Amino acid sequence: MNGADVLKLLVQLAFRNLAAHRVKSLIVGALLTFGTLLVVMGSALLDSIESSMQKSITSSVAGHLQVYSEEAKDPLALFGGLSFGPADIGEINDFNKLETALKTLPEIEAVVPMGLVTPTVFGKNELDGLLERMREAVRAGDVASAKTLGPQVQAIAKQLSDELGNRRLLSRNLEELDQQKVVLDKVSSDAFWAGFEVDPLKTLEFLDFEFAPLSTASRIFYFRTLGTDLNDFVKHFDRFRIVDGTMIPEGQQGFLISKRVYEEFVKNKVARELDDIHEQVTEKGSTIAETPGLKEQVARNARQYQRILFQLTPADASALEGKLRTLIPEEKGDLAAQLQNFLAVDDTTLDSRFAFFYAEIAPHIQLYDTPVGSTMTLRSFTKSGYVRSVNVKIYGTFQFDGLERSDLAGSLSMTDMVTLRDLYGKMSDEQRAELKDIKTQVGVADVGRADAEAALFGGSTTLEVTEDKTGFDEFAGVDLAAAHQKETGTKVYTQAQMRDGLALNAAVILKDVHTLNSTLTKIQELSKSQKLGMQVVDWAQASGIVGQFVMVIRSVLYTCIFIIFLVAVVIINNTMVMATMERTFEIGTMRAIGAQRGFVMALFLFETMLLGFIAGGIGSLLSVGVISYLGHVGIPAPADVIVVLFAGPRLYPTITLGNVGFGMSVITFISLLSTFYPARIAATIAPVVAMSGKE
Amino acid sequence: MSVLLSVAVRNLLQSRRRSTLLALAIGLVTMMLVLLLGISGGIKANMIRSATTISSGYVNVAGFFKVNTTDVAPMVTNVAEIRKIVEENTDDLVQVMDRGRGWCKVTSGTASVQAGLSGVDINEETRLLDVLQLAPTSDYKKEGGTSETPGNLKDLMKPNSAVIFASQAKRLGVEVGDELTFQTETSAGRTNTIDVTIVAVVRDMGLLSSWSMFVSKQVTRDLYQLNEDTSGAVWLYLKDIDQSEAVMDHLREVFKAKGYRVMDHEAKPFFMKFETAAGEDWTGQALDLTVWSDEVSFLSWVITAFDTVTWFLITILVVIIAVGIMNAMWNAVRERTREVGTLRAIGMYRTQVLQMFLLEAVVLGLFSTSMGALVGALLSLVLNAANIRLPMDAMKAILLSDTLYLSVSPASLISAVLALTAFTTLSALWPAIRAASLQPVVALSHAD
Repeated sequence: MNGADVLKLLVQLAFRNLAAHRVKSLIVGALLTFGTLLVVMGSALLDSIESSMQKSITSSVAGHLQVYSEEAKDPLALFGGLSFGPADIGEINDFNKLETALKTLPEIEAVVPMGLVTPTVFGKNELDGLLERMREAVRAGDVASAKTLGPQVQAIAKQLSDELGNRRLLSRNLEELDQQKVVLDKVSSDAFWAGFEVDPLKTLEFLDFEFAPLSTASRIFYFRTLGTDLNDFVKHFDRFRIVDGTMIPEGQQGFLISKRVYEEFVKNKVARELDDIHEQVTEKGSTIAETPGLKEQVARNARQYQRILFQLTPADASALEGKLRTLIPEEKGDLAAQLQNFLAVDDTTLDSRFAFFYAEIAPHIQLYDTPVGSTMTLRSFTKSGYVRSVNVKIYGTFQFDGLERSDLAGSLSMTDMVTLRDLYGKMSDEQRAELKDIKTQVGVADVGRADAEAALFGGSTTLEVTEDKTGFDEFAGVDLAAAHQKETGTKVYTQAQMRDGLALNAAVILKDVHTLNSTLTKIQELSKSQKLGMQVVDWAQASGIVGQFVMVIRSVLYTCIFIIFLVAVVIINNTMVMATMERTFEIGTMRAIGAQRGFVMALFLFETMLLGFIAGGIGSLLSVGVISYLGHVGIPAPADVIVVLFAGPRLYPTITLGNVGFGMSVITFISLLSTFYPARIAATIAPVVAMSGKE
Repeated sequence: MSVLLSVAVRNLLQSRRRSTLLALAIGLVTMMLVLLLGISGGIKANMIRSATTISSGYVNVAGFFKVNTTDVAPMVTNVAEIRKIVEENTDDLVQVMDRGRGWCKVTSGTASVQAGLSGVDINEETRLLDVLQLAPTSDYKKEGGTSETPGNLKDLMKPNSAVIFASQAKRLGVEVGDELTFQTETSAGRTNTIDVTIVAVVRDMGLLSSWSMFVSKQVTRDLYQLNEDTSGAVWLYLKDIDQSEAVMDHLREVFKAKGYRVMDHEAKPFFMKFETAAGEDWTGQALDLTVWSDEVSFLSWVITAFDTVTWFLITILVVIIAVGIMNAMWNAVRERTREVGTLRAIGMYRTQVLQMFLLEAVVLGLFSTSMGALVGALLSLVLNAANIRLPMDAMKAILLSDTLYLSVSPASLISAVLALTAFTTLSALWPAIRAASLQPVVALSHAD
């Protein structure tokens, strides 16, 4: 017999045996099919998640690769790591030099400078707004209209005075509270306001410096902010889109708030909750009457009526009261009661009241604490614990398309490189020169450290437990605010001024994503040979904990598959051994008529391999079917956190030949592995033994 | 019965190869189940341990103080009276104490972290002294770290002292004896600062420890300029942690009866309740009673996720095993058809035939699951003793610890053994019923 004949015989025998031992074939076949399904579908889903995650991360902020200093104490984590507080990722002192060096590699399309900071912003409270309007009126010479705002300020002072009673219960510093009471009583008194026209400027000064610092209730925002060369950024990150307002004009300093942060945190809480309730009813089809959580949410929101009430001017308040009287005639109470009634929406009134809110109430309140178009003060701590503040204009809001709902991608706001450097606390040569000028003007020697703190932190009324700080940096004793005012505003920078100089990390965009690993190695070599002192990571590592997440899922899946196969191999093995024992007689006969041991072994192995192929084929076909169905309808993201992994609200998985190939090879290997032992048993059956007995 | 049992054992021994392989598979699955339950139990144990050390007592009487309707501070006043009420109205109370709270930026001069402060009176905190372990300097020093463990937790008695975790010490580049600066920003835009000395560095306790520090109570009071009768929360430790809910419910009624304003129970940690408190229109003090699991409820997804994976995996494995057992039993029934016929002919009842086959499955199941459970338990002991460091941050976050820890309880061992034996027996049921339903005459004439 030649090879072809043997093969033909083997195939015939294998088919016959599979058909003859139907139960065994079915059991083993079912196990193998299931195994294939698990491997192929699992790996296809994971690959899809990984590639969609790659899309969302590379096209939002990371780029394909990220380069940062070797001296970093923490790993780069663009979407956040495990610890709070700013990560220390070192510095890129000369971005221009790095860019020039990297651009020598032909694979690289662009290098974008970046840096993360988390400045704090204090939302304005009602008092700030009132005082600002008074100042403007006085400045315009309209003292009379400034005075009309007096009663509102007076009311706030009275309220603050009442609060002092509560403060006394907590505070150990009762003397200070007594001093505050004197100020508050003064502002609450009619006598104080009677003298307003005499010297409005002096009154305002008193209000600004003595009274305003006593008001509390302003919100603190933490804006996780990515500073970058925005003009360059928009060219390479195509998911970036401005939603409200405009882009920061070229060469100017400015700030863009993430649309998600803007809506979730910056917006008036009552309005946001109303949006949320409206969305749940209109988009998810819930009803207020039947959804317990929603019902409570409505009730809670109604209790928040003060957030609207306190923002209305007397004129607006009485106008609104009239309108609410017509809308809800059955409510006889005052405006507070009316507002509560108004906010206690039910399924029938939700739509009309939602529309009423945005038409009649929203225009008269401050809907956003830091609205687009306004200027806000960003404060950040430098590494040595020193406070820096920068005034920037909010030009607009933005989002990354497809990731609107993601907490991770939606948590970053953006600014320009100059503002980033200001907040980070690194000075340019120009700033240093300017500072020197100011120092000579002010006469540094005359300003003590304590005075400087007072000037910087906003007045003598701070409850400071001032400790002598070491590492006080070069700004000590200088009126920093003045220096900044001069600088921010309308100054226009050239692109080179914006880009060159300090950056914290840099995104590398590749021409072809497939060169990712080879370029990574090349950049490492380049950094070594040119002594750039840089390290380079891929997008997954750069993203922080999110990148590790897929690795964890993958290792969990593979561990599960490994365990399942381990048990399956034993069970298949057992089934095959039993089937072999049944065929002792048959095998003995074959051996007696001249079949070699190798032939018997080959027969058994071939048999399961064939079974493996058939089962693997069915399993793969099923997987392809399921995945293409899912790829058609999409898997909805179960939570907003998952949106980044899915690169959008739904994952449309795809399956590749690689997944099928992987599944088939695993299954073939498993079937061979589990047949090896029974095949050996079969091969060792001696002809005589087999012929003499049944088992 | 004993005859049936010996028949079952004989049959199992006779088809040794088959029995061994099946026993191996069943044992493997039992071992897996024990290990997975062990890891899940370990996560729970780590969670309870770190939660009740760092962020909560078994039961907490905490709350919010509002100077006006919107300005919320997570503080309680009248601590002395609250503690007295708790002591008088709680059964099986082991300990009561109160802790100050703070959230601030911590700077070492070279680096900074954000941290939640627990202001403690170390004389009260016997539990803390038991749970916190001093870290060897090799855990946090960049160079020249040894196995020495400098520092003394009791030094928290001293004013302006702090105890931090090893990962924080590493980040901040500090060691015992160094100074740290704490800075808080209040809503009025004030910055309060205070300098403290590190008196001890302790070993990490998973996720919660990455943002927690201990300071003497006076530090939190100074930072927020609070009087002696104001603190963050009153914590209760009970004899039995499972009594927590009942005690909380009881105390809630007690405080209500005494005229305190008590917030509705919401199973969330205090730092997720600011918005709720700020929205309500009361001012002054409101108490908020919680149990330990509420304060770490944001971590419960870890256990849920892990348990889901465990169930998914074990279900698949059990199905595979069931297929294997069924197949083996079919074989046995076929092989022994004649035997069954003979036994039935000489007067054995159907139920006895059924019992005979089922007993075989029970013996096989009980033996292999016990073996598997034993190996699993031993393996977890070995793994625990090996003190394996977890390599990835994500893993540390999921397992809530920096080392692998499996908690295997006798209860979980017994339930694994019983559940899997039951499954083994169940999958043998159908073949056994078939064997029992054989007609003696037919069975005897069966030639295989």
